[in-house]
Amino acid sequence: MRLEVRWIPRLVGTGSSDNYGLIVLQIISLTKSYGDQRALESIGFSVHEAEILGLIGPNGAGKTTLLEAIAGLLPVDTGEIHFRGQLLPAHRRREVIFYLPDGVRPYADQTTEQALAFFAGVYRRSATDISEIVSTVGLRPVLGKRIHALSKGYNRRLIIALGFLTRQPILLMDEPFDGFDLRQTRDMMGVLRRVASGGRTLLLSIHQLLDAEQVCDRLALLADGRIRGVGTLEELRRQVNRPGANVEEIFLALT
Amino acid sequence: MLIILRVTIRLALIGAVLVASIPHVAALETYCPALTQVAALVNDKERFASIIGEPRHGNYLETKLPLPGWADCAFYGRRTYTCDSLPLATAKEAERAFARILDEVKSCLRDNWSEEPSRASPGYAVLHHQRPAASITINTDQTEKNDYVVRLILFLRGR
Amino acid sequence: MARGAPVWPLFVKELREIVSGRALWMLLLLACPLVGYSFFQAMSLYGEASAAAANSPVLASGLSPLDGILVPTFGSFYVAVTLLFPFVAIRVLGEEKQSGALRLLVQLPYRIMTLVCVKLAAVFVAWLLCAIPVLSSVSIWWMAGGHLFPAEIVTLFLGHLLYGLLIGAVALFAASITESSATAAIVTLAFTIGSWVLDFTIAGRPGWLEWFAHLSLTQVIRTFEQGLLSVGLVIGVAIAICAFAGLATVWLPPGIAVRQKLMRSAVCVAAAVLALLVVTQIKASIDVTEDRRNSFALADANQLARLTEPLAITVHLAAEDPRYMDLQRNVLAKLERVMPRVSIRLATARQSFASAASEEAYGQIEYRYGARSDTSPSTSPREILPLIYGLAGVSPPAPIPSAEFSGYPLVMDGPFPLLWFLAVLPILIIFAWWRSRRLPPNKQTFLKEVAMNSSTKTLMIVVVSVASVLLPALAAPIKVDLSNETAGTEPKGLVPVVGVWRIENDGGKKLLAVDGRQWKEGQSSAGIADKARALYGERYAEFLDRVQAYAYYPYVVAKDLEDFKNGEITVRFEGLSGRIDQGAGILFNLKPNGDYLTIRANCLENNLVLWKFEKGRRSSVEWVRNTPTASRQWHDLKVRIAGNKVEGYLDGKLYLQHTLPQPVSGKIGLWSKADSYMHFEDFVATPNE
Repeated sequence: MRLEVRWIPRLVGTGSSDNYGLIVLQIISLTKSYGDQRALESIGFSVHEAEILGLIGPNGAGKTTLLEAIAGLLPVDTGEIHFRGQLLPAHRRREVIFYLPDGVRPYADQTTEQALAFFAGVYRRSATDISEIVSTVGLRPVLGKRIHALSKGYNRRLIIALGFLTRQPILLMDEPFDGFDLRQTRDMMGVLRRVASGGRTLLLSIHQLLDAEQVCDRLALLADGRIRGVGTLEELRRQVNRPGANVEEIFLALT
Repeated sequence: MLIILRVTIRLALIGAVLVASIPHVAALETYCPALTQVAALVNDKERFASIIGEPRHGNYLETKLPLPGWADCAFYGRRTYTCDSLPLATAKEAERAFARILDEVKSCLRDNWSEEPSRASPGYAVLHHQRPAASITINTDQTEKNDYVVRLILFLRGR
Repeated sequence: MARGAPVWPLFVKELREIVSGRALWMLLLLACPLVGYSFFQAMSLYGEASAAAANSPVLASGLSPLDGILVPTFGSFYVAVTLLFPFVAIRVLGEEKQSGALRLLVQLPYRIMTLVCVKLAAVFVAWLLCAIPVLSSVSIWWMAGGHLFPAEIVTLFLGHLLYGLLIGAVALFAASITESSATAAIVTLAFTIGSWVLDFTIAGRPGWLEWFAHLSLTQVIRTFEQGLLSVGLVIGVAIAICAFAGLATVWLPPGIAVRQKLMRSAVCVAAAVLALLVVTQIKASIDVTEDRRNSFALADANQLARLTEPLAITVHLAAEDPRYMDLQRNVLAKLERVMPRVSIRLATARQSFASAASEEAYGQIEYRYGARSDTSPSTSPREILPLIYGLAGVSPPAPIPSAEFSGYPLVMDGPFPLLWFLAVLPILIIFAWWRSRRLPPNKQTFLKEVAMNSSTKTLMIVVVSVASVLLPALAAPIKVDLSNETAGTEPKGLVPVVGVWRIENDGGKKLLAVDGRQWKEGQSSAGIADKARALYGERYAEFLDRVQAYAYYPYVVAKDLEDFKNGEITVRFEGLSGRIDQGAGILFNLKPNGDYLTIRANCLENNLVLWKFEKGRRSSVEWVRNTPTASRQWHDLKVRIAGNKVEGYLDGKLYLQHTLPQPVSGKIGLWSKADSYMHFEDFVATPNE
């Protein structure tokens, strides 16, 4: 029996970006090798303003490598990134992109509020902003807890909250739902959609294809270091000539 | 003849000036008898009562037996006898007078009084009498008029 | 994207990282006994030497607190920093790298150089925190009356600070190139301990080994310990710190290719080496020692500085020969500092001691000035300077009269230092550590307020830590303030028990006077019964009886101090007149039965005496003669009490020491005798507890 997927509607009209649809980021021929092994092969795609683009693929596909390369945290062999049509060299990526890695537990001996306070201070966030983000992400119960004592889910929430405190227009998130149960994943999907509606562009790396299908506006399929397909679900269906196919089927067809 | 007279007068005047400029400290033979008398009173039953005079200011009393050639002899209370030398112009003179007086007092009072070098300091000397317990201190001091004196204090110990 | 993000949140975060780690607290706890024991040992040895020097000005002149106290104490701190500080410094970067937080950090709107500089600033604060034990030892020394020459201590502190920062910069670099904190620590320790090995094994060896040995960090510190502020050395160490920080900046960001990092590192190293080569040409140094031990006498230094021709010195001694070391210390180093053009060559540089010693010319030192030369086997400036003047054709200069360095003997006793380092300070550190680990209450406050509180709390820890340095010195002194007293009346802060005591006005300043001119012996002060009751409550009758017994010695009692057991009591006095006495004393150990002790000076006797008044009788306990105390001049009198040990100081010099059969406990006051007319001011009691 097929699982019914609830489509979480985009909050169109509630503060959405006037530039929705415009290309904000263009990745051109990104290539990265580790010795003889090619991790990324001529990666190229674009990201639209205020969209949620899902980067999907199996483990080892190169998703993390790609995100780090886009963020400028990993040197690449060839390739360029363009931001709104302008070349964006690696050392300037952090002006417009903020990358939230997976599997990090920063400032483990400090409390949640201290870590949030640090980012809030750096980005000069108002008390209202901070409080709203804390409430939105659901961190209030653990503000006084040390980060090393947080569960995986709350740690993930913290990382996301830190990302929301930044001011870069593009957020890259590696496995944003890691550590969440079903309900929490749905809740966080709603949060991300609201954030995107506010004008921020999100590029999510997700290995759970169903989650990606539900939250993302467009998808980029990555396998063995190569982009196999980019587009909305409909566009991908047309690409594989399988109307009504789900992401999993499309992915299997393309890889 | 007149020339000899003039020279003699001039020499005499010079001599008088010279004599006048010599530190005017009493000779031992002048005050030793009186000092011996005062010192002997430490053995007396009445102590110094026989030579204590009328009260002065504060704790001071007059003495009936001042040391000849000394100034301002008095009693401080009934156990302490003190005299100052005549004023001396400089500290150096006071130092010389101090040394001379110390020798004189020791030779005057002889064996009953022994110097206590362990209590001495520059410009301060102590002589002890064993029985009864009494001491003599000799020290230099500069007065409020900025001249110098050598002070002798003879006192009964034990309080 | 906004530029110019505030640095303060970053700095607070770095500090928090350090404070939340164990390494800092462990270093502090381990440094307490290490520094405390060194300090205590140094004090004991210094005290023994001081006691031996009590009657010997020659011995006393060799007693310098820099050599005797500060250098040994800072030396133990140096050991702690060398072995443990890398673990503290690495924390500012190693943890972030290991946890992955570095990838967040480098995306923040700060230049990488800013990140590294802020981390280095946090390391600096961490070093200051680690220095709390050693700084508190300086505080204790000063409080105990020990002499501190500011230039010496600042120079010594600067040397250790530069050393600490250099270790911090090396640790940052090590953390930037390694993956784990443990590896970074090993790399840093290899650097610091390797420096020790360098110092032990090749110091004193001739030729290029000697030059290499100068790179040892121990040699760096040694220069500062000797009281030399070498401009070139300070700049050189600063360049090394900047170089390592620069390398950390190169290697920190993850998104740059290794080849590019290597190229940038090469540029950084080349620039640092070039700068160091330039800096080694800077010979200027300042002798900050109070006894000018690194310099010739001023007249000789001035004369030598005027010799413009080059002086070439060829030394026919082996580098390991103790005579060479004497020559180096007493003459060559001083000549290099003062003469504009001097070159020194070891003629036996390539030979061993054994083979060099067999040479005929061995032991001779050749001096060539211009076209003239001479030789001498002497290693003493007394022979060598006239020789140099002779070569230069100038006469030896007339000595410039200056104050002789008389040394600072001090006997310091008492368990307080050990108690401080082994108990009090560790407890304070543990308390601060516990406070830092305490979780804040889970309040529903706006995060900004919480953020402020967290930052404030971090700073509070820093402030409390600094305060613990000053804590030993914070035993509040009690000063009898005469400024509000009325001239012509009895003092209000002191209780006159015997004699005539009043406030006098001297040139606008209020003083306390005792006037024996009109006082009669046996007279206690007016209203003595009430005064006794005010001092001793119900026990006043016993006190009153004894007052009558001792009513031959005027004294006043301090009102506000019930029981003085340990600490210092000081007063200034001036003898105005008195035929029988001109005595000024500090009275202490005043018991309810009226017995007391006093240490008194006397302008007529030039001695310092500890008198005991007990059971109705006065007796001398300790008598020190030859203590110059001129009349109509102000003098400082100080009594220091530690349990049953008593010390008497006059005009800053320790004259009297005595161990009483019982510890001191009782009221304090001022004392005089007979017809003394004395002035007193600045009567201060500083208890130690």
